[in-house]
Order: sequence, then C-alpha cells, then structure tokens
Amino acid sequence: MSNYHPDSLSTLLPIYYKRLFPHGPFFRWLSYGNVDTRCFANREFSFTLEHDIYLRYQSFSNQEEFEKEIAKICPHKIDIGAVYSCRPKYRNQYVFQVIEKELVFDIDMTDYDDVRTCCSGADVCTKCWKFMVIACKIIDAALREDFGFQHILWVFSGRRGVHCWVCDESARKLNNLARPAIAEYLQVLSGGENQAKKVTLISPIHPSIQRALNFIEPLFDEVCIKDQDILGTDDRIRKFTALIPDDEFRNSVGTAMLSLRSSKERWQKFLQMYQSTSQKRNCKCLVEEIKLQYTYPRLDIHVTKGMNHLLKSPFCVHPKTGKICVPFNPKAVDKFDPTTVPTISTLIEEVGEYDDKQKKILGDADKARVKDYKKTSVYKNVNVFEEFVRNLEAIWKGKNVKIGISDQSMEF
Amino acid sequence: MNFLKTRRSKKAQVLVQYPCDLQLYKTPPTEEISLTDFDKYAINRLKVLRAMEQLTLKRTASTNDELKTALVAELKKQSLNGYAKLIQGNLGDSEDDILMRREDIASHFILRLVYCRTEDLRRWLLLRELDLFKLRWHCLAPAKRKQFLELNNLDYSVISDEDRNEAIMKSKGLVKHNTDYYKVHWSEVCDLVRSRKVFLMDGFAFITSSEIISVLTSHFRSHLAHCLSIAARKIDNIDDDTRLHPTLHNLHNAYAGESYAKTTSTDQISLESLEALSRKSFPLCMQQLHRTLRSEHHLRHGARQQYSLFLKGIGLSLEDAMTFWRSEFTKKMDVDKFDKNYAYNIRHNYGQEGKRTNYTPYSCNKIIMSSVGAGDQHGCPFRHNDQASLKSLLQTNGVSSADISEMMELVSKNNYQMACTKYFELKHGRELLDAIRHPNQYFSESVKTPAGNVAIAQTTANQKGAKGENKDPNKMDTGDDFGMKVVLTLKPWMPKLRHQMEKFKCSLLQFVRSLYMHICSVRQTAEKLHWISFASVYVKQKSGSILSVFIHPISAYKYCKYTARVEGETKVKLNFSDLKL
Ligand code: SF4
Ligand SMILES: [Zn+2]
Repeated sequence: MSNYHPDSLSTLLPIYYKRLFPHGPFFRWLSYGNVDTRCFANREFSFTLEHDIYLRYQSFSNQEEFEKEIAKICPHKIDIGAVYSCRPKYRNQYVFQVIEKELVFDIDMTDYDDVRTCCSGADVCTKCWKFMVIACKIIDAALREDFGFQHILWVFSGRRGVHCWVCDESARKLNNLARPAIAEYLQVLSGGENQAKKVTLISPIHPSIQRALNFIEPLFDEVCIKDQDILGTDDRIRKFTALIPDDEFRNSVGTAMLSLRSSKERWQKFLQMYQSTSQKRNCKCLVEEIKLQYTYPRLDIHVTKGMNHLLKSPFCVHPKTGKICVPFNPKAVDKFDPTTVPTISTLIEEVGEYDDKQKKILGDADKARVKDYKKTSVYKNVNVFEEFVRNLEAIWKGKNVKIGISDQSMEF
Repeated sequence: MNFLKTRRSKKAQVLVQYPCDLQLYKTPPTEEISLTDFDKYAINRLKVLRAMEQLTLKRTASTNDELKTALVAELKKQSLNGYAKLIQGNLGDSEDDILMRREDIASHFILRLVYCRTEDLRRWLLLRELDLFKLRWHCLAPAKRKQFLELNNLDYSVISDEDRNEAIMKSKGLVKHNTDYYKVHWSEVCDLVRSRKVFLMDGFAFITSSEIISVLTSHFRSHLAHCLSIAARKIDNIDDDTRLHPTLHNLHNAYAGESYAKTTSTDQISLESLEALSRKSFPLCMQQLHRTLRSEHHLRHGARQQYSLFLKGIGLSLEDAMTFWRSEFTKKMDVDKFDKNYAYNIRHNYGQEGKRTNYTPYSCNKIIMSSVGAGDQHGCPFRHNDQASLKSLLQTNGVSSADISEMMELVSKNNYQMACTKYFELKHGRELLDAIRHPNQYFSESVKTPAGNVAIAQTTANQKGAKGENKDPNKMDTGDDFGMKVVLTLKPWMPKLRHQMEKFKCSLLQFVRSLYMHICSVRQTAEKLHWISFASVYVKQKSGSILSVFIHPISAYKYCKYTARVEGETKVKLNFSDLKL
C-alpha cells in the first residue's frame, strides 16, 4: 500500500491527471450552474510545479482549456483562489477585485500539539485523528444548523488535517466583515500562547457550544483520558491544573492527583472533588471549559477571514505522502481513516490490475466502458464529490426554471 | 412680514429635509454653507469625535449611560451645547435646534471630505462616527427610534409566538419568554455573531429590540465605508477648490500623526544589532515575538504580520528582513518551502508584491483589539497574557514586585498602554512625554534615550519644579486659561519638542505659543484629568503658513506634568481665531 515514493510523483502525475482526476465534476463544481460564466473563467488557480516553481493567477475559460493545461504542466499542487472581477491573467489591465470566494476552513493537526501526546508535528495516527473527527462534526453542524448552509464539502488535506469548503451562494458572497464574524463565532478557544486557560464560558452556555459539548461528551474519555492520557505525567497534570482558576482548589486537586496512578483515576477524582467543592464561585462551568479546551476545533481562522486566500484543491496529490486529497462524507467521518487513504501509486496500480483482469475476461474491446476512477479505491470519494455537485446543481436548476417562468410572464 | 415668512419657510424646509435627530447620512446637504460655517462645522464635529475617542480610549465609562454622561459633560465644557443636546436626542423644533440638525449633517459630510484620503483616516472616521451613532441611538426615545426606523425603511416586525416558542426550545435558555424578538439574517448582526451573543438558527439571528442597533450599525458602517471610498476617488476635483484648501488639508494633517510606515535611510538598523536591540529597545509585545521566533524558528501568520511590519518600521531593510526570517525559519524547514510559503508575505509587507501598498506597522490599539486564537503568538502581553505569564515576563525583565503590582492594577482597569508606558519608564529611567500608543514609537523613544542615566536625575529635579507650579490653584482653575503664565525650558529630556521644532523650523517663541495652545486645552483640576478639546499644536512656519502637529490625547496627560518655562516671555495671549486656519 505505501509503496509511494516522492521521487516517482513526476512520472505518476501525467497518468493521474489524464485518467483519474475527476475533471468533469470538478469543472461543474466551480462553474456553479454556469449561471454566471465568470465563476469559472475569472477564478484564480495557482500551480506548484516540480522544484517548487510557483505560478499564480492562472485562469481558464472552460474545462477543455483547464484539462489541457493540467495535462501539459502536471502541477504537483493545485490551489484554488477567489473569483475576480476580471480574468486574473489581465489583472493589470482591468479593475481587479475579488467578487466571490467560498467560505473555507482549515484545521491542521499541528495546532493540537499542546493536547495530543501520541504524535507531534506532521505526524498523525488514528488516535489523534479523533480530534479531527470531533472538529468536523462540530463545525459541520454549526454551519448547517446555525448558519443554514447546505453545500459543504469536506476534504482530507493529504496529510494531517482537513479543509472545509462552504459553497452556498450566500457563503461565497460574504464580505470581509461577515467572514471574520463567522470565524470568531466558531473560535471558542482564545487567548494565544501566553494564556493557559483558553475557554471561559458564561452561562447560559451558548447553544452552539452546548451542541459542541454534546459531540464531545461521548468521546472525551476515550480520546483524552484513554488515548491521549492527558493526566499521565506530572507535567501533564501541571498543565491541566493550570486551568483551575481558584488557587486553593487547584492545589488540592494537584496533590490529590499525584497520589493516584492513572489518568482515569485522576480524572474521576477531579470530577468528584469538583462536585463536592464549595469553591465554584468563579468557575461554574469548569468541567465544560476543560473539555472544550482539550477537544474543541482549533481553526486557522486567518484562512477563513480572508477573501483571497488560496486553498489546496480537492483531488490534489500530497507530494510528500502521495495521498489524494479526497472529499469525504462528514456524516461518516467516524469511519474515515487517514492512514488508509489511497496514494497515487496505489490508484495507478489498481487501474492497471483492473484492466489486466478485464483483458483476460473480455479481450481488448470493452476497455473504455468503465470510468477509470471506478476501478480504484478512490471511487467512493468521487461519489461523495459527485453527490455534492449534484446537490449544488439541483438548486441552480430549480432557479433556472423559475427564472424562465418569470421571464415569460414578463413578456406579456 | 415677508422676512418672517421666509424664515419660517426655511425652517419648515429644513424640518422636512431632516425630520429626525438621528441620521444615516444618505443625502448630502443642498443649501449653501458659508466658508466660516464650513470651518466651524468641521472643527466642532471633530471636537466631538475626539472627545468621544478619548472617552473610549480611557475605557472608564463602561455603560452607554456613563458614556453619555461623560460625553455630554465634556461637550458642555467645550461650549458645544448644541451637540450635547443633539446627542441626547433632545432637539425640539426651535430654530436653533433645527439649525443644529443641519450642522450635524453638513459637518458629517465635510469630515468625509477631510478623512477620505487615506486608509488610516477613513478607518478613523468610520470608527468614530460609528461610536457616535451607537451612542445617539442609545439616547433616542422609543418614539423617535420608531420614527427613525420608518424613515429609513428599516421596519422590522416581531416574530410570531409560534416561532418564538421554537426558538426558546432550541436555544436552551438564550431566547426568553415575554420578550419581543426580530429575525434578521446573521450577516446583518456580525458583531453579535462574532461575540456569540445571539441565537442563530438556519442562518437567522434572533435579536431583541435593544439589539436592533447592531443591524443599524452594520448598515451605517457599510454605507459610510462605501461613500468614503467613492469620496476618495473624487477628492481630486474638490481639491481644486482653493477656498476649501486650508480647512481640508490642515484638519487632515491634524489627525495624521506618525504612521511609522517609512524608514528614512538614516535610521536603518542592521541585522547584527537586532538581538541587542530586542532586549534593550523593543516593547514587550515585540520582545516576546522575537524570543518565540528565536526559540521556535516559526511564527504563525498573525505574529508574523505584527512582527515583520514592526521590523520594517524600525528600519530593517527588506534584504535584511529576508535574511533574518529565512535564517530562523529554515532551521525547521527547507529553504524552498520558506521561499514558497513565506517570502511572498514578507515582500508583500514591504510593498513589493500584490497591491504594492506600503503597509504600516500595527498600532497598540490595533494589536490590543486583535483577536487572538489558541496557539496564536501575536497580541499585546498586557492585554493577552494571563496574569501568571505577564508577571513572570515582567519578572524576567527585572521589574520589581512593587512595580509589577502597580502595572497589574493598570491592566485590571484595561489601561494596557499606560502599563506599557510605565514599563518603558522603568526600563529607561525617564518619563515619557507621550504615552505609548505604538510599538514603533516605543522603539524610537527607546533609542533616543541617551546612554547612562543622566535623564533620571534631571527628570526628578524638573518634576519637583513642575509640582510647585501646578500647585498654583488660581492659574489652573480659573477657567480663563489664556491668562496663564507659560514658561518653558527645553531640557534634554524633551527630545520630542526639539524634534518637532527642527522639523518645522519654527522659532522657540512660535513653538511655545503653539505648545501653549495645547496646554490651554488640557485643563487639570486637582488630580483629576479633563481631556483635551483639540489635540493639535499649531505651528506657524517662517513662510507664514500654519502647520498643525498632532499630539495624541494620551500624551496630553503627560504634558500636564510639566510646566513649560520660557525666559522673558510672560503672558502669551492667544485664542483660536488668532490661528485661523
Ligand atoms: S502597549 Fe503597545 S507597545 Fe506596549 S506591549 Fe502592548 S502593544 Fe506593545
Ligand atoms: Zn497521533
């Protein structure tokens, strides 16, 4: 499975872009029902070529042009930027302003380094991936239920994080006052490096945070107490108790914990002491605050706030891991395993194997019948993507029809 | 008879045009305004906005009512009674009141012309006008609010009981019984969303009648921002009108202050000196970033912006900046990755990429107000560090525990910049004329401090003198400031003044006059400080034209600590009209 080697990327990419990259749905996605042709034509793409040559402000009038260019230069990475008031190519001749851009979120595992103990930096394992699961559930629910968004695409970033693209028309048109507002609404942890306690709640707890807690509740013991062992060492205990505002209570919790063995016992002890303590005056929601601090999504909100931030495209290949940036269904995020995401080499092997098998059975004739991606383990991800695009188009179709009718009535 | 009739009809006309005390300022005034009025209007409104700014800067008035009381008192003191009435929403339909409405509108449009020129000025005006608008809405009686909403087609209707019940159920206590709610799209109440103060469902926010202001501010903001950017494009035409020239330009200079964006070739700093400077002359916010960068070899976006613009401001050249960032970052990543992901950003800050704007370093206010998420390293230590970490930071910087508690006291009152000023003074052994309001100002003050601590002795000596002078109650409290004696000796510890004199090539006497103007506008009674009306010093140049130098409100407080002393000059009598713009 992990037969991928970064050096082989340049030889694999031409085949990948030609046979596997879902150009069709990709184009349909970014043309948004083709109601406004500028949507695709004025969109900025940027490419990273071999040896890290970086091309910004690329744009294409249609799928054909895009496909041709991709086949020609085989970018190691494709980034998607904003839609501008003119073709990015001609940005020096005309007024060049962002007119729309998906609302995007970027959650990266490295931001969890202060709460995960299994890995650090670029590494990720199934244990710490659970943080991403929680993050995805919380953000997805908030975007849908609080903000009423429907067209949300979740994508594995190829190594250690996830991207989220909110593609509703109203989201794409948000200005740069509304974007920071939504980003900060979802940024419950605040205070930066130099503030130990990053969550302070006021009661009643905001429904959005309450909902997040409902997602966290069933997973907290497993993720934090068991997997991450957050009370496993003296150091970790110190970090934990730093979150208790009351000096006296903090000290007694600290001492009590040291006399116990496991994270589980220590956590239980804390809960029990907290239940019975009288010093709750200024920390009525302490348990909730702690749970949030350890598990609430850590967003890179700078990515969300800006209109012209570039974000890696779905179905890119991560150059280091060779893994495909696959879309996944947020409802099934529990089952998503970053360690088994197919690499470009696997896919190309799979296509080959399938074709060989078919050749044996049917001879050469029917080779072209089955779409190539369907022969590989990425097909379910393409399906997720296609479904997402279909849902988007359904809205546009509905609208087109309506526009048609009202246009007619205008004729009278 | 005729005369009366025209008067009445004029009044009626204004009443029709401006039926409401509060305005969204959608239509500019059409009638003629005399040049004298033009000046007067502009200056008065500016006074109001400045008074408002100072009150918010001090952060002492925490509720709207407190703010209103404080502002009204201040305006009355400055004889801006019309505005005091206007802000309280108390205008009736007497002649004066109607004229006040007219002034409100005219002056708003005049200031748009003055403040549309640069991004910074636009932002300043927008924030000030927005604050003023919010306060005025707060003061408006319910009936007048209703009238305002109707006039502006902002009619919101209360949601049905059914809808409310659903919201009550889903919001888990946030939406309450027995209160009227309005449903608006969430993007209309961004400030409530941002602070999670509102219940959201399916893209709609449930707001109470007292939160309607949030919707209004977003209308007001987007409308004004839009208009200002249009004005900026058109301003060149207006600039040709020489009659308006002085007012427009001087007023705008009056606010510009220093942006710390440019570095002249003389005050470049070298890469080698950076380390030493960071310890000696950086404010804590930057020192902290410098250390983090050195130890982690990485800074996140917010921190990178804050720090690299600061470095630009103190005179680190683009080449040196590149070397510096690259050498740190590449301890943890390869050069290619750095060049690809971060180099652009740095060049961009130096105006070498993208829109090629010469970005200005962040001011304290911007840093203090910025949002700092988990893991972020930027911000102001006085604002964003928790007590424990701020204390230890101060300790490692050699601050005594007595001083620490004094700073903590300031911090607990949200007086972050005063705490920072105090820190500066401790580190440098001299008092500052200006309170710290910009990290780059901290730096330039710091490098100006002479080696050795001669400054300390002089400051103490002068302070004593100053106290003696200040004790003269007749001079300070008479209210007739213009009879006050102004005496000024330039001491080495007043480099700021020196600098300004040199900059404007004015004589000492001229300078003193202008400084005097400034001091007059700062009245100090007992220990309590009254904020200034007009924070500018007017300097008459040799050529005869008058330049205004902006002095930030916070610094006014500092000026009060010293009595200016000048040989041979006893009575300087000036008033504003002498310095007619
Ligand atoms: S007050 Fe200003 S200069 Fe001082 S630390 Fe804070 S941000 Fe920096
Ligand atoms: Zn792990």
